[in-house]
Amino acid sequence: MIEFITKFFRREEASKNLAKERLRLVLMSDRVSLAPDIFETMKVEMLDVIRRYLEVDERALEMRFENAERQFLLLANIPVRSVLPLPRKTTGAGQTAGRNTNGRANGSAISSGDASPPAASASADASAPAEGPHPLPAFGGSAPGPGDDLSSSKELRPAANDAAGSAAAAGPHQTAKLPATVKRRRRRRKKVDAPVVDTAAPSAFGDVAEGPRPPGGS
Amino acid sequence: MSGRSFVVTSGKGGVGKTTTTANLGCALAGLGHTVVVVDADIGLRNLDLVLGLEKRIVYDLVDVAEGRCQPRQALIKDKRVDGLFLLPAAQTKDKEAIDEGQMKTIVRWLAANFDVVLVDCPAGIEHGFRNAVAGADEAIVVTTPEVSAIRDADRILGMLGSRRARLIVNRVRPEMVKTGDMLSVDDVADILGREVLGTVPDDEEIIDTTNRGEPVALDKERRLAKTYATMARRMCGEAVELPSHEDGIWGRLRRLIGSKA
Ligand SMILES: Nc1ncnc2c1ncn2[C@@H]1O[C@H](COP(=O)(O)OP(=O)(O)O)[C@@H](O)[C@H]1O
Ligand SMILES: [Mg+2]
Repeated sequence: MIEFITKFFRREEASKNLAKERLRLVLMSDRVSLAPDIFETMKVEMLDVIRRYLEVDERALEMRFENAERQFLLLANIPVRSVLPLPRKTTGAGQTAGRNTNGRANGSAISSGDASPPAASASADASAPAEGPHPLPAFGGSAPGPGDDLSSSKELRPAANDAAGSAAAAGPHQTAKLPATVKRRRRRRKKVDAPVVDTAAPSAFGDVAEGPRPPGGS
Repeated sequence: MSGRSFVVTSGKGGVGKTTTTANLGCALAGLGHTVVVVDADIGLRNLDLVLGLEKRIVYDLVDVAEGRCQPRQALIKDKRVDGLFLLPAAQTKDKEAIDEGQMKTIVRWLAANFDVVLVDCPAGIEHGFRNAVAGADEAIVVTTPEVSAIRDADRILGMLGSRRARLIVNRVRPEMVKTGDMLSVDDVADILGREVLGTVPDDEEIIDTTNRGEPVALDKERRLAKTYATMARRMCGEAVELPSHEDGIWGRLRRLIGSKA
């Protein structure tokens, strides 16, 4: 009883809750890295949808999972070549309509949901890296190399120096057609929150092949 | 094929696979089933010791696999309870001494001749694990309410294919669960997303009875024997409720008194 009372007054977080939260994150990352084939399929399916609205550079596409502080993120980097002509009823192609639209911001479909103003000016673009040839789509555990975690956000961006020169003139397949798509790249990341791969029945992954280490498993 | 075959596995070592296998074997036999417990931990044989049958070993699993004896010859009959048999592991060989195909053949044969086959799996996810799993139709995944054991259990669950897999949460300490310092059985089931077959408290009786080579489940009057008997019933498809160690008032009182002594 005394124990119980002391515990009651000792107000640190119950370690069970920490255990739960830590397990939640680590199991998501384990499951993903152990079933690379399944997420390869997911990527293909996502692309099928995206292709209905956008012309994207599939060779340069990058998608991977990352362990962040208290979140497990699906990060996608999808260079858009052009937005297909869409029959439009409402403003913008979709979801972020209300946020920070300036008239031509129809890159919103893939927009990062990044709250910073779009500032579609060329100067903003200049600081953005040019679209260089990326390594092939890195996915699941198969991707992040030695640098994992923190450094990876840098890895995602191709060398900035060659951007300086060429970005103003827009990158190789970054045709001048659509400034809006350039703007999108200001934050070149689409963050999708954790629930994408939640603690769903692990059996869904079936007999998984031996996968590479969990990404970002520090 | 009449009998059912289960692999008792965990990923992590030391969480209680061997203890669980021995006691479930005793409990199942106590219910009137014929049972073979198979020690698949080649090179680290232990099930014989936990069962108190270590002195009676003549042939082992590898002898059977390599045809040096008939499967029946290698089985050790437990004299304390009708219907319980042990197929011991080889102690001198290493895990490569047997392959999945051989293991499958042996477990199939056992299942055809007994009601239940329980395969005690070695720790790890390599060769020994694949062998132990090879012949089993269902799985019992043992874990403790700790992060490392749970993570490993999740990993193992992903490697069991389409087998039905249920959890045994071992070494639960109700007083810690109560104060929020240990994950509860429900938490564990939630995180792993699997059905719980049973839960066993962390209890000195386990250590004491293991010392003697007399699994606690043999003595039907003991509280823990009932715990294992309940699991055994549930394995056989009976709809028995799980006894809750977490809020049994008597259990708590007993522990409280015990711990202050
Ligand atoms: N419920 C329990 N309460 C107390 N001790 C336990 C319990 N279950 C297992 N143990 C002890 O934990 C140790 C490891 O158990 P064991 O069954 O050999 O694990 P494994 O086969 O998974 O390696 C043994 O000393 C055993 O007596
Ligand atoms: Mg063991």
